[in-house]
Amino acid sequence: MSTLDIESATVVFGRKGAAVTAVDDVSLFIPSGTVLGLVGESGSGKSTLARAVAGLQPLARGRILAGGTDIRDRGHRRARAVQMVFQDPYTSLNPRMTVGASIAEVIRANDAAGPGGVDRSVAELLDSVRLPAAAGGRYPGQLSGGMRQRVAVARALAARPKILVADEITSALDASVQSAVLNLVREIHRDLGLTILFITHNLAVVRYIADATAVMYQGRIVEQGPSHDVITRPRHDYTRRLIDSLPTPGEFGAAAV
Amino acid sequence: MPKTRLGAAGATPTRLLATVLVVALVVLAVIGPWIWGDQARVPDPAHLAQAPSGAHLLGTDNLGRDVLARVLTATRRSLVMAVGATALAVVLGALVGALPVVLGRRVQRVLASVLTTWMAFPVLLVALFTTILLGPGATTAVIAMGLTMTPVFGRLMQTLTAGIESSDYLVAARMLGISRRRQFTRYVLPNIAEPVLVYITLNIGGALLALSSLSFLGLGVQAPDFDWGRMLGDALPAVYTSPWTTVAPGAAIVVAGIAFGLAGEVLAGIARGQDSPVRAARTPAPAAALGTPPPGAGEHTTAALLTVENLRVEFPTAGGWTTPVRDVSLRLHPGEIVGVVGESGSGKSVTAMAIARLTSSTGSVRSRRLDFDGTDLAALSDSELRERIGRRIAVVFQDPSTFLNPALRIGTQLTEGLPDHGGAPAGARNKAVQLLDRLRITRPETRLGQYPNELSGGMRQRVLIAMAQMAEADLIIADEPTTALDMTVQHHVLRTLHERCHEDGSAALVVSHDIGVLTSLCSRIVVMYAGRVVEELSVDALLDGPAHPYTRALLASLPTLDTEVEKPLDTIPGHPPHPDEPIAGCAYAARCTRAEDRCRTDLPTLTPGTADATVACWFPLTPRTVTPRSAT
Ligand SMILES: Nc1ncnc2c1ncn2[C@@H]1O[C@H](COP(=O)(O)OP(=O)(O)OP(=O)(O)O)[C@@H](O)[C@H]1O
Ligand code: SF4
Ligand SMILES: [Mg+2]
Repeated sequence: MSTLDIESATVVFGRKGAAVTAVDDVSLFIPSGTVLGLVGESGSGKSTLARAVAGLQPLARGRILAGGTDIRDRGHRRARAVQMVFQDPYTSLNPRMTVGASIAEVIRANDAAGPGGVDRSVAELLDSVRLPAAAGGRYPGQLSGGMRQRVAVARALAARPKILVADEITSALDASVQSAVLNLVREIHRDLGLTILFITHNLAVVRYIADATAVMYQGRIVEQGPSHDVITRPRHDYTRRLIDSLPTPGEFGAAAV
Repeated sequence: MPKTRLGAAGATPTRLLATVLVVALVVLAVIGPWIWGDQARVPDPAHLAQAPSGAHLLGTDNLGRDVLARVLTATRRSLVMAVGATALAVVLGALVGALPVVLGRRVQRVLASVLTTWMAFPVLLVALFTTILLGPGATTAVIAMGLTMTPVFGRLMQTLTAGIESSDYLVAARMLGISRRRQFTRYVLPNIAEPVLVYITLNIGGALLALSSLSFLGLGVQAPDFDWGRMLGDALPAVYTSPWTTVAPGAAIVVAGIAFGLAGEVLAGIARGQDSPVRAARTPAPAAALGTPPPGAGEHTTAALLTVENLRVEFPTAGGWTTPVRDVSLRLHPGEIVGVVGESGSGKSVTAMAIARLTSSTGSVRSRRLDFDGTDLAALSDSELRERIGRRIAVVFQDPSTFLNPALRIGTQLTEGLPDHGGAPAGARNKAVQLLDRLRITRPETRLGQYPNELSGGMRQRVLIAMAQMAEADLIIADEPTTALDMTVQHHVLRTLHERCHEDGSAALVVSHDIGVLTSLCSRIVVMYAGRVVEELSVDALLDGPAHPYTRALLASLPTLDTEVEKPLDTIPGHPPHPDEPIAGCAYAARCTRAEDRCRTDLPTLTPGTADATVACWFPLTPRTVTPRSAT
């Protein structure tokens, strides 16, 4: 549906003397309808890059093209073709609004209601993230973490994006809930043909969900390629360390008893 | 939800008093002028300045008007003025303090400096200026009061909205195309409403006092109108001849001031959610029997460093008691690392806290046995605990920021209170640097001079781990020690923890929802579900295939580097029961693929399964069998 093309994106925080380059000349291309996994250590600039793609963080240099148009163009901004789901489902929803109202609001703001009207569209969106329509009447505080993260996904979909940025969306969740959310991302990707930038620090997750994987280290992309290749034949030293640090049973040897 | 919480008004004596007073004032404000208005206004030359009597309960003033009627009638004006001034301050305060959050950086900066200048203006000067400009009168007094109160509200709302500005939900709203007006009315205002409401209530009392003083000074309400302040002012010249005329308005001002002050405090208490637990705590803890002793209980266990048998932890809530830990037994030997795993809310953290004797004071902690190296932890007083156990038990918390002192440098927190403190402070410092370095904290020397808020969450967590190591504790209790860390750092932290236990024989109890982390680190795993241990097994037994269906499901839902990419991941449908819920039978029955009738009525107890596993399940799996995917 829409390619995502990041060209020499650079993000600098602070001014002159104390300037920090969080994202340093990053170029990435995500073909339409595919998932790119972005892994890297904390502070390597993954989230900053995600925010830049979502239009929440201005670039110092370079540009980002969604479906061929610069995301800074007025027309693009109005279309809201790029949406982002945040890491923490406990903070990304307005605690004082029912989740149904949160979703309905986005539908109205984007004139995105289907033929059945706003309420129907809300129910359909909830259904698409496998939540019962009754969940729409609840407040975020009444839902579990996994349900909230589904609501956050539904709300992002309400704006009818073509590109979805998912920033560590499962790391605040229980392992048992994480797998359900990952399945959901898979299904949505298949059903809607979305282009997805999926950020995580978990290699097993990226291997499962992403067609291609890019590894970020100190603001730069140090390695990229098909997920399977990156994980089985890592070339960069950091990627290798990342793979070595996956916990394996009994790796430190049985403790002394 | 705030509505239900506020609905609980009228329960404690303070709440009752505040509610009665405020309601009475409002009722008087509405009906007062209708009933006593004429009596209060019409002079009666026949009864000038009379002392209190049956006909005039509080006497009359120097024009013969009934003082009681005047005080009651003045309620409306006094209250309306106070509320009006506060309302003006709230609206203006919201415009300068809260609105900028949706208007962008530049407007925000300008209005912030406006606010600062405004705050710097002396209150009296603003009042005087307004009076000079507009001439004395009730409206002037209200405007003046409103203007002087504005910056306080503005600052409050500025502080409150600062927390919301960077919140993900407001950022998301902007990204999703929600209009600024809706951002303000639906996202900003409702989320600051509760504290602002409390503050408003507290301030109405203050405004009432201040406006009364203005009227008293002749700058506020002008005759023939009157409020309590004006009455007081008029009565002052005659204070020696007819003192009763001053008592009543004075008392009214004090009572109203106290009423709103109390109401504010009560609202604040409700908003903090602190009222109900304290109240509920006065009812005795439920006397539910402790669980049946675990296998091997009471055995001669000198070898064990920590023995917990049938631990039960309950907390009072508004609706009764909640039981996050129903029945937990576990045992740790020196040098051993035991993992506790379970979904969010299964009671892992509450268990860890109870063992460390850190449960909040309202909670009830009971157990058959809570024994640390031959000492009964439950029997120790707080000071005995500090003296005898002190640093032998170290704790690494899930949320490190709350347990580091924000006012002390990292270095101080790492080295203070060490057993040999007087000996070699330089030595302690070197050791701290080494530890931080081993935990992969960059520039460790510099870190020692920094304050906790200058470190990232992951760094703070590692500082706590370093603290535990500095203390050379015999038992380390670590609650999610690596959740805030990324993979490579996590790996180092786990390794350091492991080496530590291996080298000096300390034991560790590690809590995590990530069974992968635990299998890499621990020798034994305790699986918790709904406040109970459902299985305890060695890592080897775990790899052979656990016997409990829940443990299997947890393990299966974890993607690994061997997971089949084509198939959907295994999940555990549904969610764990809430700790308030009474549970009959096996708590996992609603989600279990093997559940049968018996599971829903009879509680399975921990029984030895294979050599190195105990399991609480009526229909355990045998090792190396595949979990049947179809429900029975
Ligand atoms: N002081 C308290 N008062 C009332 N309820 C409490 C208190 N402390 C904890 N609880 C409740 O006890 C239950 C278990 O909490 P606990 O923190 O032990 O879960 P956990 O297993 O550590 O979960 P997580 O994986 O999310 O950290 C929760 O429902 C929690 O709300
Ligand atoms: S007791 Fe029954 S419901 Fe509980 S885990 Fe075992 S089989 Fe499942
Ligand atoms: Mg916890």
